[in-house]
Amino acid sequence: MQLDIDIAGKLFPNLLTMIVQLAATGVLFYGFKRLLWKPTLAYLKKRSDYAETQLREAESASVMATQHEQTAQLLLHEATKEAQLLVERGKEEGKRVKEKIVTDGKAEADLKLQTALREMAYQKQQMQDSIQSEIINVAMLAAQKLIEDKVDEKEDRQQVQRFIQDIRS
Amino acid sequence: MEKAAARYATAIFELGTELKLENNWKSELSEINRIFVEDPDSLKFFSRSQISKSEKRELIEQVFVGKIDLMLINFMYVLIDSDRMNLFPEVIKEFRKMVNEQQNIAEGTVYSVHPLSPEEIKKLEQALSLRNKQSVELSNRLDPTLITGIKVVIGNTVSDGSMKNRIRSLKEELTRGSR
Repeated sequence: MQLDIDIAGKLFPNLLTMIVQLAATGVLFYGFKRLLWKPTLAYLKKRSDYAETQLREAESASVMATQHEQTAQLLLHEATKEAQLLVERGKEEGKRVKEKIVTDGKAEADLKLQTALREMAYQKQQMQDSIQSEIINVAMLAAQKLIEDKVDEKEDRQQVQRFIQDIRS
Repeated sequence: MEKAAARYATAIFELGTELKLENNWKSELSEINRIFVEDPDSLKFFSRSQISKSEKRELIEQVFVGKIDLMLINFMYVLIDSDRMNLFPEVIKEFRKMVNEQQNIAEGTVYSVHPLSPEEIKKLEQALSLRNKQSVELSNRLDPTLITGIKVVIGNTVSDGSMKNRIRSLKEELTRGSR
């Protein structure tokens, strides 16, 4: 089958069509210029103003944020200083309490030591007294026993006579 | 001291003083009391309700008539009739106290290891009477713990010449010296 198509003719535009097309484009351009150009410009300007406002606000917010950041930094610095001060005070208080505990503990230990020493001295004295008392008791019992063995009724009656003499004198 | 005993003691003291027999009664009653003190069962006999009062009176009569003053026997009858014979020691104690106060006599006790002879007691009484400027009457009690020597107790005063006291004094002195 053979196609009968004018390819060369198709490759080149029709002059009339092209003129019509250009005229139509001009009409369209003119209509666009007359009807849409100003609103479009106004819209673009409005958008530009809005963007500018947003930009200014953003700048302003940025400045405020910077200020806030500086304030925060300042506050943070002060808070850090205060915290350090508190820590220092805490350390000092802890040190003071520690020293007090150590001092009190030492005083109490000294007191207990003194009490224990006194108690020991007392116990020692008691023991010595007890031993001496025991020795004296034994000695006296021995003396008593010896005298009981030696003394007879005659001696006893002489004792009675001596007692009577003592009363008379 | 029961009031009843004091009343009986006052009665016989006043009667004895009136009859000038208080010294005799004192020695006689003391002798009877000594029997009761040495043998407490004899006093309990008079407290037993199973024994009639006539039997008790009869016993008193058999034992004491002719040996002590009749007035004292009657006094014991009174105690038996009123069931107060148990008060006898207290009555005698109070009676002796009254007689001693009247005659300025101090009673005391001499403790010894061996029984003292009447002469020894007499000498001791004389010596103490001179020293105390008051008549002293002593009764003798044995105390073997004295070891030797005697101890005289008159009221609150103690004169201790015993070996026990000397040893105790020596012991106290040694104990004080060792401290």
